[in-house]
This record gives sequence, structure tokens and C-alpha cells, in this order.
Amino acid sequence: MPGSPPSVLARLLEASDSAARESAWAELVGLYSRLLLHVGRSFGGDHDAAMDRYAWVLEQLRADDFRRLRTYVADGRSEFSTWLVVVAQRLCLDHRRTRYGRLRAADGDGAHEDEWAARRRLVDLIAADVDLSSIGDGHGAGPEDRVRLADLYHALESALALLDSRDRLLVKLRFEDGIPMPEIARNLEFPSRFHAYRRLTQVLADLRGALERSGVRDTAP
Amino acid sequence: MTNPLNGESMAAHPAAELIAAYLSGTLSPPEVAAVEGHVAGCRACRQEVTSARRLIRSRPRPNRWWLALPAAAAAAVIIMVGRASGPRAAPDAIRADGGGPAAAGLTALAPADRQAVPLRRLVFVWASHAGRPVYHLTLMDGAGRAVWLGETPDTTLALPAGVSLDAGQAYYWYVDALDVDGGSLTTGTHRFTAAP
Repeated sequence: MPGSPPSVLARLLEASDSAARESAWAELVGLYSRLLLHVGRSFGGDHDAAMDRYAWVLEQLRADDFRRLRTYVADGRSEFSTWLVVVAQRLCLDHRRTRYGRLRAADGDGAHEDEWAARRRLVDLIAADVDLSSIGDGHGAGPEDRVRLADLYHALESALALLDSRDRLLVKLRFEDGIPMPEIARNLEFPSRFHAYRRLTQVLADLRGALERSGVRDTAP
Repeated sequence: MTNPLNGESMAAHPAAELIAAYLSGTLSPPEVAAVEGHVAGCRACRQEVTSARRLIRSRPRPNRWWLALPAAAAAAVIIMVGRASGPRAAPDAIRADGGGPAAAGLTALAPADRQAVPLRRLVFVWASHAGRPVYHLTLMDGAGRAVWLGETPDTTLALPAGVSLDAGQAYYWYVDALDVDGGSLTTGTHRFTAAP
């Protein structure tokens, strides 16, 4: 529970000799290995790949006299295991970048197309009452259509910026990330997924209104 | 927009401590709004938060192996007593409610509890467990004797032709999943009756 660090962590960071430190470290590893392996496995690959990530995470947690573990601030804000999941996940990403480099966006690559597709999904849903159904997919569109699409998406981003952060997050999770609504409802602490659906419906109506007020009514050339 | 914890600019990605506090639900409403405002505009942080939540929800329970000692000792006694030539443990000593001390996490699917199963069609089925554990099945008679022990990486085992069961008798079975890092789960003990 939040409030104080696990006793083994306190013993590790306050150990006065190497024997006590190693003993506390072994105990910490014993307690949290399954959790760290759980994170390591989530990045895919076979058992060896997961073990590589697990070993990397342990190595990084030990580095510089347990520098990362010392940054865990026991101010009652998070469970140590929750913090450990976040840190281990970041370390596994670092491991992947170290081995394979950063994913780079090339011209017309999947990430750009995913974002385009996500914006289209959102526009399509908002467009039901605003007659934007003629919107193209951007591929093969002429220069004028691309300019109109860019204007539309700019208007959409401006409308999104007017939402409060939670509503904006709701929209992004649903339409850019494709997260299922029951999961979104749990993550954003809606009483039920029906409350989440109702809120999303209202937010989309608000976005439609904002687009109409900014003069966006159709995209027909 | 500034980080409510330390006043730094929130244009930077939130620190792990802030994300962890957000996931723990311990931030104040303005702090939550600040984090969600950043996350709503940052796909990388949004993906980080989503995947961290999923990992936290699906995490294995702490490896408190000493809590399983009484259950492991009881299981060992049942098997060893069953193999001895002396008086047998009464059938009622075997809990057939599927709720043994370490039952959480592994679900027995077939045969259904207390089902009468034709011997020629006896196949044991259980739900799979995450990872690549090895499953150990133990089949006991009503006196607690181990009749058959099976092992598989799959989630089904058919009773071999060479193992004979007595029609009309009750039998008990359970499966243990042993994974690579030493953790284990069990279905708990289940009962079926051998039909002719």
C-alpha cells in the first residue's frame, strides 16, 4: 500500500555493508522477479528475449548504487509495485532501442497512416450530421482536396483543444488508440461503460457543434 | 502547463513517479487534469499508461512461497498416505469443491464436478495459464491413493488405456501448473464418478 517503501527496499538502500546490501538485494529480486518477468514478457519474443530484458532491468536497477530505486519517493502517492511496473516498462523500451534503434517515421509509413486513419474515423463519426461523408482518404486526392482535408483536420484539432483533458483523452483513447470502451471506462473510472458511451456521444456532439461554428460543413470540392 | 509536483514544465514527459501516482489514483484533481492533459496530447505517454495499466491488472501475485507450504504439505500427505499399504484416508478428507488452498488462477474444465464419465471417453481439460508452464495432473481414488500421474505442456490429457478405473467409484483429480520462474497454480481438487 502507498505510504512507506517496502521494508526490503529500505534495508537495501540503507545497508551499511556489502553483505547486508547483497542480502537485501537478493530478497528484493526474489519478491519482484515474477513481476519484472511479467513486464519483460509483455514485449514479445521468446523466453530468451524475455530473460534478456529481465536481466537488463535488474542491471539497470542496480546501476549507480541503485540510483533508480533511490528515486522512488515514498510520499504515499504510489505502490512500489506500480512504480516498478512503470520503470521496468521504460527500461524494456530502452533495451529495445539500444538493440534495434528508435522506430523512425519514413514517408508514407504505417505510423503516419495510422494517425490519418484515426483522424478519419473521428471525422466520420462526427460527420454524421455535418455531411462530411464525402471525405476522401487522402491517397490519390488532388492538391485542392488535400488542402481541404488539412484544413478540416486543423479545425478538428482546434475543436479537440477546447475539450477538457479527460474528454480529449476519451476521444484519443477511443479513436486514435482503438482501446475498447469497457477498458476506457475502467481506466477513466466511469461508473460503467454505458456512462462512458454516453459521455463519448456528448463529446462528439460538442465537436460537431465546434466544427459547424468554425464553418466546416462539408468537404465536397 | 506545469507539473503540480515540482513546478516543472509539463511539456516534458511525466516522470515515472508521476505516472505511477496517477495509476495509483493518488493525485489530486488538478494533478490528474495536468497528467491527462499531457497524455491526451502525447501518443507515447498514452500508450505507456495504457500498457502499464494492463500489466498491473494482469500481474502475478507476489511470490510468497511460504504461504503455499501448508497446502503443499497437505497434498504430499494425501499422496504419500495413498501409496502406503496401511489404512486409507476417508474420501471425505479430500475436498472436492474445487477450492483447495491454492486454487486461484487455474480453472478445471472437464470432467465437470461430480459428473459421471464413461471410462472410454475420459479426457481431462483445463484452462491454459499465461506463459509456458508444464502441467502435472494427479488422479486419486476415493481413499487418496494416486492412481495416475500425468504431465503435459498442453491443456488436455486423456486417461491412458493401461489405467483401469472401477465403474461406479468416485475419483478425484487436480492439475498443478509449474512455470519457469518457479511459480505454481492449481485447479484445486475435483471429483467425478467412473460410469460403466
